[in-house]
Amino acid sequence: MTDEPLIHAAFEAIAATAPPPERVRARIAARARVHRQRRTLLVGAGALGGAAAATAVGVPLLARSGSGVPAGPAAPSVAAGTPFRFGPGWLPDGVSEQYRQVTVMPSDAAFFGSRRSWLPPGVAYPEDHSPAPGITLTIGERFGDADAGEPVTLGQARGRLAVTDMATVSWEHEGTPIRVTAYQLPNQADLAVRVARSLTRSASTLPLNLTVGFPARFGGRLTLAVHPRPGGWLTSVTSETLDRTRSAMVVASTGEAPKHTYAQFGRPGGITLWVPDEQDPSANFTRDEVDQALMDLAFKAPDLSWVGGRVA
Amino acid sequence: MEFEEFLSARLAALLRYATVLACDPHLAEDIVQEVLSRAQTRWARISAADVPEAYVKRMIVNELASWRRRRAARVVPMSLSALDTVGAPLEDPATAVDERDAMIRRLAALPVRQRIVIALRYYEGLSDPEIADLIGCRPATVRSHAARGLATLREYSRSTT
Repeated sequence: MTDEPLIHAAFEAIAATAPPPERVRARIAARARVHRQRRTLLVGAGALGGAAAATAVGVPLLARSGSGVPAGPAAPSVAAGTPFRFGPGWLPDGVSEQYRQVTVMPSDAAFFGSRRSWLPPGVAYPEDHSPAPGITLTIGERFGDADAGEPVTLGQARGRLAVTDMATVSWEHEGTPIRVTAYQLPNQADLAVRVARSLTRSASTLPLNLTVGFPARFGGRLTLAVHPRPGGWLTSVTSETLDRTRSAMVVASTGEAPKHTYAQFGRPGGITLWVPDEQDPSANFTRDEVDQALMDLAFKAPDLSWVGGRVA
Repeated sequence: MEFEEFLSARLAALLRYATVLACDPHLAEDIVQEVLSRAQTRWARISAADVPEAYVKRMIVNELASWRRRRAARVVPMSLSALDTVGAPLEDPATAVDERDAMIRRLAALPVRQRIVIALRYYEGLSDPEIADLIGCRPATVRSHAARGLATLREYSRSTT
């Protein structure tokens, strides 16, 4: 055969080894479910680097001029940090904490939920809503398929272990939903159960380092998230109505913003502020409101002293 | 077109496309899953494009180049039994299968940009300007990648005969 037909024949043979679409479709659907769950939680993003001194680099929150009424600044109790309530008493070798998120009521710091992730070495926290490899502990959020999986015993509690491309143990403690997931780890079902059984009280916190003048119609609870990025950090705050019909998110980070954002501003010191592209259309977070919120945003570089740790 | 409709209509073709570009069905599966999961979150904008499939294909090319930067190059684990199940009619089956298998291994060993260009030209049948538009470079760069890739393939061929 001459070159061209031979090359074509070779590519045809390679194409014939393509994986079956059914399997890929199932995996995409599984990731979409996780994405929806995480959207429900209004995930933000994360942080690294130094900045232990938490130097103020923003400007004080300013009341918005014009028709919009900003939500008030967070209460001091929120700024001081709300405890996560529970943390793992045991973790697999090698993983370390790389992501913290907490949802609170800004007026009284009432705890709604939290999420923390311990990732394998050298793995960055994914910023594309895909599941975080390693161990993730989620508290206070109910997910669908409560009866999915096999029953497992967790001390005196009864939970469910569901295994797809990740292993998930879910149960309730005094009415609070708790969920442990293990993803992209060897023997992840065993690890998820062992982490779930090890849960203990936690005094760890995530202090508020961002205050945003969200329009009042987004007022409700605040979700703060922090994780390290290569050479820096990323932190976000989301305001969501209590009925979860409207939400708005603002992100601050070192390094580059994603390619597609709804709006972004540069700040001195290599800080970028942005509003993600995936805005809920019904929220109608208008461009003027976004611009005003980003200009008025006040933040400190997040405390990253917990990054790399394994404490409960 | 809704995302689910797009998957029903085009997922198999996208997997073949990615497999050809990656020369690795496992990597292709990971890449297509990654790309489509990301595409799903912004499908409203992508589906508004004239040809959503072209947009997704560009994402696959970019993702492949990105993965290759992050990972060491792989050797393609093509099995001869898999090869025997497919292929165009051959003049001399025994010799031609050997040649084709050797060509697969040569293609897999090419630098990723060169292989992408050759795959798009000889498997997808795209013109150099179309390839340039897809991978985000000038047509002259496409011709350069193609020439170097073909030269490498011929060099292998001479050295093994």
